[in-house]
This record gives sequence, C-alpha cells and structure tokens, in this order.
Amino acid sequence: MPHGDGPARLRVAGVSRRYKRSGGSEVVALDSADFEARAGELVLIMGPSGSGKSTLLSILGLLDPPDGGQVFLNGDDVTSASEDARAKLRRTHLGFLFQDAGLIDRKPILDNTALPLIYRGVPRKERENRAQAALEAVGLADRMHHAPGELSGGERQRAGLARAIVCDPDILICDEPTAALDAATAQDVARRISEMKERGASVILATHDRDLMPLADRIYEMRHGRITETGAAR
Amino acid sequence: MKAGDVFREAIWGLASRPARTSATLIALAISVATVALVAGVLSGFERRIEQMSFGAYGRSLVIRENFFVEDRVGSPRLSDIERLRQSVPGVESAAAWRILYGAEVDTPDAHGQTEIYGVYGDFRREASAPLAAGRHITGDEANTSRRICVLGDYAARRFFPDEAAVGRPIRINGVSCEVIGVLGEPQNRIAERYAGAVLTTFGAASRYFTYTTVMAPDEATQLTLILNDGRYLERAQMWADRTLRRRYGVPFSQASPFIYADPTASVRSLRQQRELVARLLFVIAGVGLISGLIGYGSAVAAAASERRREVALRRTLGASKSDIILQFLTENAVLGVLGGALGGVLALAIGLAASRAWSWPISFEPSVFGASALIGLVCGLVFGALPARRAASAPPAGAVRT
Ligand SMILES: Nc1ncnc2c1ncn2[C@@H]1O[C@H](COP(=O)(O)OP(=O)(O)OP(=O)(O)O)[C@@H](O)[C@H]1O
Ligand SMILES: [Mg+2]
Repeated sequence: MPHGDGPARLRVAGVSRRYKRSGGSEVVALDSADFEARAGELVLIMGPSGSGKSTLLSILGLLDPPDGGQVFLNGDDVTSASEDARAKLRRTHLGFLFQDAGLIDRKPILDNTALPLIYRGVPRKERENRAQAALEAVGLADRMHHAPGELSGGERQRAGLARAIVCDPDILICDEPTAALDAATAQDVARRISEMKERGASVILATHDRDLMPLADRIYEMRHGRITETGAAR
Repeated sequence: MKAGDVFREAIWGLASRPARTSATLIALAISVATVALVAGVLSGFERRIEQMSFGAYGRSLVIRENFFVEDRVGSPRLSDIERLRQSVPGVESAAAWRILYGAEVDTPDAHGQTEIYGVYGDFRREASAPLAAGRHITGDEANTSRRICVLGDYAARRFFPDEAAVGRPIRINGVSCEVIGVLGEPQNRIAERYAGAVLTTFGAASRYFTYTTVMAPDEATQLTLILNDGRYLERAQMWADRTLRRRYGVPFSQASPFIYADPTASVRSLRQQRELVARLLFVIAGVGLISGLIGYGSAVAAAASERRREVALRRTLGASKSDIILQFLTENAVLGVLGGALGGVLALAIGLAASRAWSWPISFEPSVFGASALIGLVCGLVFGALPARRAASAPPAGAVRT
C-alpha cells in the first residue's frame, strides 16, 4: 500500500491552547494550528524549545483537550469527548514514547512493557507473551527482569518503545525520543521507530534533531505556537 | 481492568516502597491498638464486675447483729425470717447462716482449724459452687439438725489428702459428722470463701458443733434476704429495719440493733470506677487514634503526590480515572486491614504484658481482631479516598512534558 495516502487518521483544525502563568499572565502555547497524520506515514514536528511541540502532542494524544478548534480521530470529532472516553480512545489507538522513556521506576522492564495491556483487560499469560515479543523486537530480551535504573539510556528508550508498540497502536506519538541519546544510539532508536510506519501506523515525532529529517514523509515547523507544513524532506 | 490485576498492582504499590509502607502500617497499627486495648481493659473490668455480682448475690440484703450498740438484743433469729418475708416487699427467698470461726476439724489423717458454715433455708442461691463429688445439702435437710457436711474444694484436699472424702466421717469440735459431698473449684469470688470451709446444717452447727453458749440455738450469724430486684435494696433495708425494731422494741431514736450489709456496694463502687476509667480511657484512645490517623493520612497523601508521575504515565497508557482511584483505594484497604490486624495483635501483646505485670483486668474476645481489622479497613478507605481522587485527577499531559 502506498504510504501517506488516504484520509487523515488524526487531524486537528484551528486548535489553540493557552496556559495561565503563575503570575496571572497568559501564554499562547498553540495558536490556531492545523495538522494531520495519515496511516503509514512518519510526520516530524520541528521547532525550537518552547515553540509548543509538546503542547500539540498532548492534544494529538488526547491527553489534554484544546481551548479552541477541533480534533478528529478517523474522521470522528473527539474534541469534546469525556475523560473516560478519551482514556478508552488512548487505549485502543495510541502509543506514546517520551524523552525519558517514561518507565515506572520500581517495575521490572517486562512489567513496564506489559502495563498498557492491563488496562485493556488482556489476561496475564498473554500479556507476558506479548511484552516478551515486543522486548525481543527491540533487542532487550535479556534485560526483561531488570529495573529501569539498571539500563542505559538507549536501552531504556528501547524499552519505552517496546511498551509503546506492545498494543500495536494505529498512532505512535514520540516526544523528543532521541534528545538524551548519543548520535549512534539515536539513529538506532529512530530506525526502530520508523519501522512502525512500515506496519501501517501513523508516527508523529517531535524533535529538534535535524539528523532525523531523512526519515520523515512530511515535516511541520513550529514557531511561537504557530505551525506550518514545510513539505517532505525527500 | 480486571479485579485480580487491580489487586496485583496494589500489592506492587505497597511492596515497592517497603519503608514507607511499614511506617504507614505502624502508624495505623498504633492507633488501632489504643482503641483495642481500651476495649480489652473495659471488657476485662466488666467481667470482673460480673464475677462479683454473681447471680443472686447481687441482690441480697445481709442482716447481722450490731455489736456497737449499748442495749444489745442478740443476733437475728430464724423466727425473724418469716416476719421479714411478710413485711419486706419483693423478697424472693431467704437464708440463714450460723458461722463458726476457727472450729477444730479432725480426720483420721489430718487436723486443723477452719470455718464451719451452718446453712438454713435457700442457702444455695449464694453457695452455688458446682459439686465435685457426692451431693449437696438439700433445702429440707438444711432446716434440720442432721450432722452431714459438704467440704469445700481446698478443705477436701487438706483434710483428705490421699483419699475420697465422700462417705467418710470427720469430727468438728470433737463431734462427728458425715461427709456427703465435695465442692468443685470455685468459679467466682463468692464461691471462693467456701473453698477452705465446711458446710453443714444450721441445726447441727448451732447445737452440736459449737461449744460457746453466747448464742441461742436459733440465733443466726447472719440472715440473707434475696430480692426480686437488686435496685430495691435500699427500700428493703428500710422495711427490714422497721420490722426488726418493732419486733425487738427498739425505737428509731436509738441506733439500730442490726447492721444491714449490701454486698453489691463493692460492685457499685467498682462500676463507678469503671465509668471513670472508661471516660479517661476513651479520651486517651481518642487522642491516640486521631494523632495516629493524622500521621497515617499525611503519609498516604505524601505517597500519593510522590507518585504523580507514575499516575500520569498510567493515565497516558490508557488507565481511566476510576482505574487509578481503584488502585489507590485497594492499596489503602490492604494497608488498612493489615494495619488493623497488626494493631489487634499489638493490643493483645501489651494487654497480656500489662495484666501480668500490674494485674490489669484485661479480656480479649476473638472478635477484637475482626473489629480491629475492620477499623483499619474503614480508616484506610476514608483516608485513602482523598489522595486517591487527587492523584487520579492530575492531568495525564504532565507525563509527556519534556
Ligand atoms: N503547564 C504549563 N503552564 C504554563 N505554561 C506552560 C505549561 N506548559 C507549557 N507551557 C508554556 O507553553 C509554551 C510551549 O511549551 P511546550 O512544552 O509545548 O514547548 P516545546 O516546544 O515542547 O519545548 P521543548 O522543545 O523545550 O520541549 C512554553 O512557553 C511553555 O513555557
Ligand atoms: Mg517539549
């Protein structure tokens, strides 16, 4: 199937988000942004620090509702979905990967990886099998029983990726997944992330890392809360 | 999310922070222990009171001669019983006692001094120890002068160290008497006084076994009136006094020739003590419970806010608010039940030590442990609810921020 064609899987239209500062002033973190991601494409969001990348990702990830604008998931308007409904949608469609991998400290890697499956009601035995398979896929089979603190940064990031893909999400949201890694490790993690789009997922990746640009199907540029599509890198 | 998984995650939540979990557990255990200990002490007190006010003893009026008046009329007499029964309202039954202090007792194997209780009327309402062997003196026999006797538990062992006493003769102040029964181990304070003594008929005690002639054969060391209702003891005493004054011609201007002992007086004062102690203990337990729970509550709240990142991550991975609340509540319920049960055990240990060292009257029902665990559970749920709700409502977006 040709990648990046077809209707938008995730789309926002004119979304904005304002934060109240503790002083009382307001920050416009996101100003009337349009964005879309289709099945099987990797979309890069680039921009300097403070430009609103994480804010946009939390709205795309249905973690935070926007102050204005609309959010569509597979064509359905989910802008004003309830907390519970959004939790359910996250469960069925979304995977997340963060800069610090976002692993829970005192849980072994295997349990960390299996955690999203708990909230999907998957039986224990099957959870373990699937988590194990995901860890094997990222090359961490021999680290399953270690705590996150016992892993290197690159290994932690791979474990985070295993957890993000264990549910086989339609949409994978990554917030600066390579920022804390050296160039070689960053390339390895990025390559594994881009493998997800080969399996038909929409991958949305926020980064300042220009080395990742060759992987992108399309690139958005953010500045002061405003977003523009700058076109494909290749 | 499945119930088994909720429970497993809750156990993980507790087990992965052993120091915090045990500190919280101890805080809760101490507060529950103070309450359980107070309950144990109060129920021990109650039991002691019950033992003292055993059966009919709690509603009997005892009449004795007043030795401190100038014109003594002697001891109350058996013939007074009928008069008293007719004039005093609410008398259920009556008994008379002729007590010989320090009588000489001889058996083939032993010799010693002890008390002889000559019994008359409905004496068994008071001397209601169970029998170990033989039979009791019947009500009919009590009103005769037959020389039959029943030995107390300790007296039987003392005078018949090697053989069964029933059917054997003993000599009381040189006069023979046949042993027809032996009392069992005393079950309460009142029965204890018969343990070393010999019970016989009133007639035998006053005619055969006494060698003083100070008292006439129908004079009793004491009369006992057993009332229907212990609350009317004072009224009964007034009527008895009036009846006996008329009988012996003693005007109200003079001191009464008899003294009226109310054996429940000691029980009443113990009850009052118990009330006082109870109030004091409730205050102490209340303070202990509250301060312990404040410690518990703040530990739980601190643990919850320490775990904001974990909660945000779980929410991101698909946990709903109620999944988070359920996990925290389950953690606190487990903590509560364990802390409560630990508190029960702690109270038992302290209670046993205290009752050994200072002979506190402590009694623990097995239900104390169930109740302690229940208190713990309720505390856990109540104090876990707020932090759980706060933790669950933290925005999941916090986890993505980088
Ligand atoms: N919770 C918040 N309260 C107040 N202001 C916030 C909050 N979160 C973000 N902001 C502000 O919104 C703006 C955008 O923040 P955001 O985290 O989206 O930027 P970013 O592009 O992800 O930056 P970085 O590359 O450093 O991660 C910033 O000015 C930030 O200070
Ligand atoms: Mg960011």
